[in-house]
Amino acid sequence: MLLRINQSSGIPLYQQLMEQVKHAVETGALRAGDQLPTIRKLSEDLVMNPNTVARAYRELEHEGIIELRHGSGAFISSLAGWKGAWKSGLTKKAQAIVQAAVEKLVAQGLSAEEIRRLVESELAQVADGKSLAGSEHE
Amino acid sequence: MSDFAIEANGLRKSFKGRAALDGLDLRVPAGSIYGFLGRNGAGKTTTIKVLMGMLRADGGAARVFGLDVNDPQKCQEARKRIGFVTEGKDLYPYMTVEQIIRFTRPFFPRWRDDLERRYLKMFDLPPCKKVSALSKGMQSKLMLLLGICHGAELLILDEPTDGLDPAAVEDVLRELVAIAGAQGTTIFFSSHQLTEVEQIADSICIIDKGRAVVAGVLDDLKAQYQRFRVVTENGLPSGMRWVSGVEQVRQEGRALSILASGNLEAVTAQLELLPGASVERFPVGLKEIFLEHVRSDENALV
Amino acid sequence: MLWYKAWLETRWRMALIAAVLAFVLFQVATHSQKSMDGVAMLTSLQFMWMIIPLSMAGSGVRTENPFRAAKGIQGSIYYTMSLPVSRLQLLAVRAGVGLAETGLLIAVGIGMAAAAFPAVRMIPVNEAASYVMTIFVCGLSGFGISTLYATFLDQQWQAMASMLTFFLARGTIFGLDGARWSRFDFFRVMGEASPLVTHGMPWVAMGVSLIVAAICFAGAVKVEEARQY
Repeated sequence: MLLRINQSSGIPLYQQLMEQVKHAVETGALRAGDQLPTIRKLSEDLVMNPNTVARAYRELEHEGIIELRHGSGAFISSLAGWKGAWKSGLTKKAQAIVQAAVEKLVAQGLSAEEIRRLVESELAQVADGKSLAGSEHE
Repeated sequence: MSDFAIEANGLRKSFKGRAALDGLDLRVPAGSIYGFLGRNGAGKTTTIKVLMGMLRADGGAARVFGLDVNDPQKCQEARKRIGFVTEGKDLYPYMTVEQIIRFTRPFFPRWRDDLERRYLKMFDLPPCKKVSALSKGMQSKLMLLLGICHGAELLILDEPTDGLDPAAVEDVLRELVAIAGAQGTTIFFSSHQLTEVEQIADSICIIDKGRAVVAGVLDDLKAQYQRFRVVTENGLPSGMRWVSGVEQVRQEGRALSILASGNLEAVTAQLELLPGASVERFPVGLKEIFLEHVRSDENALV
Repeated sequence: MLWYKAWLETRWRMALIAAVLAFVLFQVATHSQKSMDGVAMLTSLQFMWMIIPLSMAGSGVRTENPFRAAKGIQGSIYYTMSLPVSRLQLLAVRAGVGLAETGLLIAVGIGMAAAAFPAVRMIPVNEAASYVMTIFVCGLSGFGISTLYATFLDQQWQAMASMLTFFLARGTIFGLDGARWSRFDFFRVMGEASPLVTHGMPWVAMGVSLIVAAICFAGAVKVEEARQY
């Protein structure tokens, strides 16, 4: 599995890790029943904090993406597989939407950098709304 | 047993009237990799020397494993469980690698022979070579080996990667992550290298002028902080009163750059109320958080 | 293991002092071979017997590394301080190794003298033993002074300062009115008034030396425990 973490992006590392696992499920790189590396292995491979990896796994379990089986490690849950299949259809549709939007904006003379900033700004708002809602539960 | 491996409250220390530590508070959770960040001269090394009993604090209290380090006997008790790693050049230059291992081992009853063999091989350390004949990177690795192999529950590292090349830095960081994962060792390391702290620390403290200015779980801090970029029709209304959470406001041409450390919804709401405002939001990295707190900025409006 | 480290750090100095000792012995022997009996031969080494403890007391915790001492306080001292040992232990081991080396050098010195000069062998064993004991106990005062200096002076100054202090203080106290205080003079009994000459033990002088040494050691412990690194 290819996971890449950008330490200085400002996005919490455990969230990056979660996103990447989810993405891998969406694209089919990870399927139901596949085993993820152990926390120790992954933290050594990526040279990142084991507590951070553990946090990402816990949150992923909470969301039903993976199952933590005591002593044997983390596995992609069957539910996630189903969700992944469903989502990969969704991803294709989403891609078409984004493609259309980007083409329109380019036609109106916006640069790639401007479009990226707009998208990131929107995403940050969405992500922030989510994390605030999440923290209320805790 | 306390949940904190290291705890300091209002620690003070001055040298010839100049305050090196000015009421430092510190809580290092057991089992964490804790990055102790600050500029040169911010008080990092002084803090570590107080924790190791080399310096006596003028005021405040510091405990390691719940043991008061200002009491020489208790501090000695604590040192049995601490691995101390500084720059490799601080080892005895006249001893060979093998001699210094043989010298250090008897002080620590829980010495791990298996780890010793493993790291000697992994670091490729020549047993018969003198410390003075080793390269800087090798000396640092030897120091790390000595700290790890005595089965310490807490590693205190003072700028462990200072002067190492990038490949050696990555090696050292990987080993730190590995022992934290394998043994649950608490790792407390001081550094002024933001990237390496960002890479392996789960919790951080930023120290400036002898005080802790920011402390907490790194991922939580990143989620709390955000930068806003606002373009308004006619600038800021005079006498603007910002909601809490706004740390810094700076004019950048037509735009305003605003750093917020929490209360993000209220900040967004306030900004969107400005006439004709377009608001953009960006994630904030450790570097920005660090600079915001240790730099006095002339362009700042708040 | 601290013993091992202290030995590694002081062995070259010990070799140096041994060489000086051999040289002095040789000088004394060649310059006055005919006119000297064994007693005069040994008592003429009075200064040498004092220089040995003054130099072998050597470094405190602070100046543990003779190669770096010149650059001030830094370096490996932090590694030593990070070990789970008290400062008293560090000081005690230093002193222990220094004393052992002092004893060894004195024994070797007298052995060399005995081997080279038949006259020395004529001295009765019990007198020789009293003599060795006197040198050692009276040397403790110098050892103490040197140990005290080593807690706050760098090595190159410490040796010089302790020699100056010792000989100046001794000269002032006992030199001015020699006759009156001579009973207490723990330097004189290493030479002209040694058991080899007086055929008795200089208990009073030895006691004074022990008191001086005890005060210096106590001072050294105090300085060391209060020191901030």
